[in-house]
Amino acid sequence: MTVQTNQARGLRPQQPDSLADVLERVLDKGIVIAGDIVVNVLDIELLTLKIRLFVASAQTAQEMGMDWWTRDPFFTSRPVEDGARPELGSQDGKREVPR
Amino acid sequence: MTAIGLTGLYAYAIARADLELPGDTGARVLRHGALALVVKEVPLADLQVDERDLSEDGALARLVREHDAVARAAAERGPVLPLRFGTVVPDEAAAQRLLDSRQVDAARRLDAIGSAREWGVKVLRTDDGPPAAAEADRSSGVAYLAQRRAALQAAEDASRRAQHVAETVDAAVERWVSDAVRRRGGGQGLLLDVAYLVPRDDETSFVAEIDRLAADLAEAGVRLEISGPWPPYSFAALEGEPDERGP
Repeated sequence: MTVQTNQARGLRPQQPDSLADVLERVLDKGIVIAGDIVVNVLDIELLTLKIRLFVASAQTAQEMGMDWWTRDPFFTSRPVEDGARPELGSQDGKREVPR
Repeated sequence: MTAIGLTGLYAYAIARADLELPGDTGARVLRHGALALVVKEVPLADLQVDERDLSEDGALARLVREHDAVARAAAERGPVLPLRFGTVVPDEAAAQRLLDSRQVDAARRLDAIGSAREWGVKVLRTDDGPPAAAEADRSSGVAYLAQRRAALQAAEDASRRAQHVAETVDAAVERWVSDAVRRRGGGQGLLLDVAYLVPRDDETSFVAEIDRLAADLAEAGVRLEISGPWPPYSFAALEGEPDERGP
């Protein structure tokens, strides 16, 4: 995506917005109503958390342009860096144990 | 509370009692005192969503888009306070209790919003940002400390730069906006994510100002993205309710 494309898209917003845009705008905004008035048919806090987890874990984030959550301090205590995860050799190691 | 009934009232937004919805939303207006609740009767089974399905034709997309469409349609007719996505009350009596609990602060908040709409502005870094810390040369304590200091300096520069851009944008649009909320979170390279509440008469000037800023900042390796207009999702929080307005 070039800078020009993004600027053009940004300054002349098109309708409809992408699902990522709408989700980002809608999902954890708005007035929260006390639990004794509402029907807890959709546990929105849990749903929001699950979507964040899914988006953060499934590499769906960049495909959908939804990586804004992956560094949310509420959700993750450290930045997610590709390739920076420590290699865990324990499974391989077990297989290599001499008999 | 258990959901025994088969249907509930999905509540989209609080509005003034004189709100008239356009006819094609499928929603209706429940009036109570000075306020109204924009609702739609929905089968509770329709609210079961699979959070792993983020496709455009999935249940979540349908619900989220409908939430946005109804809030948008209502906001075209008067000030609204969108409710949290997924808010469902069992019946009209509960809808009235909901409005009763908000009569004073909601009316005040609706007055503050007036005909203004929300615009999102994101500022993203387009260059590579601060260089990653080089492999620490541990052969010398002095070299290590120098590198460590350089890394800290780079992080501080990035933070100061973000703050500078934020102040630049805020100052440039200040005269066109009636409120601003710094939004939480952020992806890679996101220097600023802010929601502005802009009165309709000032929208053209606001967008022009952002346009001008975008051109200026592009040369500095920074990209501005604007989205909107939106219903005032980021400005609906009422007093006594945790919101995300940072210092």
